Amino acid sequence: MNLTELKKSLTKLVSRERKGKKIKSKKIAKVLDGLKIKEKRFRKALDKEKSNKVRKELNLKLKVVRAQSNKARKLLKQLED
Amino acid sequence: MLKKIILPVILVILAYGFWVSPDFKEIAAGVAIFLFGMLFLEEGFRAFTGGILEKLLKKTTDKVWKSLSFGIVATTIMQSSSLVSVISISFISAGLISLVAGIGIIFGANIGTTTGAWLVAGFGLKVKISAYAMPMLAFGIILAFQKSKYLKGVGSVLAGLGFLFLGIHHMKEGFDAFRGSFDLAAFAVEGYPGLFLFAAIGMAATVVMQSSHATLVLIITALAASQISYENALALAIGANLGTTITAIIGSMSSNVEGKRLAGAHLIFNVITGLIAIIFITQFVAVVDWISLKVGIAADNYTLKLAVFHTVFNVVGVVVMVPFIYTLADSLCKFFAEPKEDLAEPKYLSDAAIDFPETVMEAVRKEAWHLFDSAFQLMAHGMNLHRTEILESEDLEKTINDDREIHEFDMDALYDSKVKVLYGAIVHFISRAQSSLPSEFSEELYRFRHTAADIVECVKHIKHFRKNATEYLVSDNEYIRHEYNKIRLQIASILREIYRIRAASEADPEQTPDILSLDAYKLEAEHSRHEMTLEVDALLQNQSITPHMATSLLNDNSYAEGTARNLLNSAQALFASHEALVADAEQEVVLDEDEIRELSTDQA
Repeated sequence: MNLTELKKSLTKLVSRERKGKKIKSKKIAKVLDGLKIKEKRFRKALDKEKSNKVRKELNLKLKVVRAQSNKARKLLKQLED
Repeated sequence: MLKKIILPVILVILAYGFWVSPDFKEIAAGVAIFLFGMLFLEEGFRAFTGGILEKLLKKTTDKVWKSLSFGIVATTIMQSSSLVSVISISFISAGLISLVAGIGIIFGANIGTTTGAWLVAGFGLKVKISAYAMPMLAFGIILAFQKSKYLKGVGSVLAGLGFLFLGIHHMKEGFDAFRGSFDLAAFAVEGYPGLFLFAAIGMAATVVMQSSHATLVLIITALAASQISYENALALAIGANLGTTITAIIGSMSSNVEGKRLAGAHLIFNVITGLIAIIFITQFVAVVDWISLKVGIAADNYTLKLAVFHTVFNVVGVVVMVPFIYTLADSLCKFFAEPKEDLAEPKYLSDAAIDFPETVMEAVRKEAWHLFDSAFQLMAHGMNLHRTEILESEDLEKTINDDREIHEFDMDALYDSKVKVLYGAIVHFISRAQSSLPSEFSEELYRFRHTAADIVECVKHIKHFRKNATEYLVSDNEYIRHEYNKIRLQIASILREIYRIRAASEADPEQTPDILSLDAYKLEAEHSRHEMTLEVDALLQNQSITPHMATSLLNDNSYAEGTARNLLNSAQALFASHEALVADAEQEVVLDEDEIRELSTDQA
């Protein structure tokens, strides 16, 4: 393989990678939107809830959703970089 | 036995024909080249499977008219109703499309295949077709040698068409020359005896050549050379239609019950259509004459009139059969009854499903769920619970605390016969599929194998858990009973949540399964593990349980934690089908073991 061919295949690879990243970013952004809605829903439910057992469950779910949102944000940032 | 006799007989007849007549040699070579072209064409279109074709098939078969149209268009483009039948059988076997959709496709394919007769009669006989064949062959073969899968596919399609054209050319030349030395038309038989005789000949020829398309081209070229009469050609075309069902029947032999039902529908359609054509042959001929007159086909242009006849009788067949499509599907479901649910037999891993990447993936995913169901049954009984209690109880905690019935059964034997067998079948199917599938599917197949292993691991954990859990279920010590019930409740709740998500996604396939919600159960399992350790210490200090009980509890708690983790991981992997794009991204956001542990210590 000569240099021109190498350059060509590398350019092709980079553009494919970029396209893949763009699609992935979109999908993860969609997941993040869903998580934000979930977080809001759990917060609202927590404000109204009186039972300790259910509050404990909701807190746990809220904690998980927050961790997932953070992970999604990190992934998005990595993809943008 | 019959098979062993037929082949030598055909070979002897061919050899005798070659010896007697060089023109017969040319006709036979023409048929052989034509069939070779069809193989190339099929090979070429297969290069495009695993993508566009499957997506189109899944999206365009939700209504009868759509599946009919798909059958017509796909067969017109690919010029092979056999390939369309095989694809439909594969998709039905893998559970990707319904039986009604498959029947619709087959009906449509019967109309689509008639375009072949139009092409040959209207174009193939009018121009010097071999002039087009040569460049197609040259370009086709060059492209077929390329590395790119799609270029290879295009090359095979081009070469296939080239061979088809070349085959038609040789058949035409052969019959033209044959006319000079021998007149087959002298053997024409008039009336109904001729109709039945030539229908039988057409059927036999199609069974031997495994292609109604090839038979029809042979009929058209013989008709063009006046070697057969128009009436006998019509009967041969009816016979060819009947003979083509043999391909579908052979294809369905290796498929599951759904594939057999589709082949049954194909046979019923073609037999009924053939009978209608034979009974109303006079009316059909009159209609063909009328249509020919209207569209400007000369009264003596029998080849084009044959094409009209072929289309008309298949369209009539579809018009007659479509209103009964649901009744037909119901009757076939009754005739080919679903084998009694046996959780130990693979349901989706048929040979018919191994042909296309899409069907392999779906078959493996569904079989993994089947394994999950088997494992669920065993795990539920292993924990001395009923499946209905887990899935339907309004207050699961109360049900578990109140239910102290011991389920007597041999868990080892059932594990071997119901879980290990299925797991083995999945592993075997994946290893077979991997050798024939493009490399981009390997990762997902590996994920499925890993998931199946996780499911099996869950059953093994419950096997160990069962020993002490059963003993303490009837213990008088309420503390130990309470701790074991907590573990049972935790696993039962996870199973219940997984089946709830599954039922929701099955009820609305458009909705992405909420796989992220399962992470909360992982965190809960991690918390329970910590809490249990503290509780065991406290119970020991209060002398509420013995040290022996404490060690059993700690060991079993670790089995329970492994079961919870594996159940959740496997369900998340199975829900994240590669087709559901968002589910695929959700899989990336799912928290891993370290992240769950970190989250758990945060709260602690």
